Amino acid sequence: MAIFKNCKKKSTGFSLIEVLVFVSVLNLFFIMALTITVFSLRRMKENEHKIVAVHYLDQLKEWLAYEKEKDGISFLQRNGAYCFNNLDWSNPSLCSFNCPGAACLADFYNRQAVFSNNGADVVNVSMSINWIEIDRPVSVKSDVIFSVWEK
Amino acid sequence: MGKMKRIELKSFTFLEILVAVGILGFVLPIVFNIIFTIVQQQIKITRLAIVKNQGDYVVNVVKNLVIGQMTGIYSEKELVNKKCDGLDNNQTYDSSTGKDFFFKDINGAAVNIYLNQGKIATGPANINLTNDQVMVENYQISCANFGSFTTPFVTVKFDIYYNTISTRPEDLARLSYQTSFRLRN
Repeated sequence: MAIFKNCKKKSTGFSLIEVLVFVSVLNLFFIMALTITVFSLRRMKENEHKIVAVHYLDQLKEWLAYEKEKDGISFLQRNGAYCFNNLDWSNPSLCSFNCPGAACLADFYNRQAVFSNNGADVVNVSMSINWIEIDRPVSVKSDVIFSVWEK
Repeated sequence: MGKMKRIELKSFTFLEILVAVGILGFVLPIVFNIIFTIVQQQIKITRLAIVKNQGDYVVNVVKNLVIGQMTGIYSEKELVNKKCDGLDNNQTYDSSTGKDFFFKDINGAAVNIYLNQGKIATGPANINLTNDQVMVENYQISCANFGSFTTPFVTVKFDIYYNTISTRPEDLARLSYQTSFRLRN
């Protein structure tokens, strides 16, 4: 009987400390996974907006090239900033609209360009498109040089 | 007869199983929802990239083709009625399909860029410039001449979107294109 008593195995579950450690590690893992997921989703959304923004910059570049072809003399004398949320010359200043909003390009972006006339029939155009990505401003920029190549 | 050794089988209680399944039932939908959102967003980006890629390709091909090889614009493939030829100011001509808008190329042949069942194609060889992944609508090709004895401007505009039967906004990818350039020859 004494031998059986010694061999009796006491069956116990996990202790509170063990459970706490396990739950803490699991929570840490889930919080990290959630953070990475949120960050990843935000970056993906930003990339989506960037693709569209680059398209709108290309659109402006095409339109400016057309305007230069149409009236090269006036075009090459332009100086200063223009807001190009619409493709016309009606807003000769940097965009000051609060986006998103109805006055913004596609209700979301501000598209603008700064013309610097270097003389000698050359104009440097710095184009940019800006938007607010949840809590921070993001912009895509592109520079183009227009000149009278026919000369 | 000695005492038989009693084997105690231990298993989870009903309550333990219930709690475990409850937690799993709570966590799994959240995890799958997150994975679904990520995949959906990635699909949208891929679709947008495809649409932009195709749209840019069409614009580049059309520009290079027209600027480099076309000399005049006509309303029929026999190349009789010349349009936007600069003999009168402010001449304009446009076509919503491109099937009545022909260019005369440097070899004297008639070439058109037209909408063919949701695809942009070039004739007479009927080569599609866009693939089956995208569709084109609101296509318009036009010309305008703002001066006398000047070469005309050609404007091509179209909307291009990812070809899907889904109507959910998150599945759609659509871009509008417009390009204008001048005939060189």
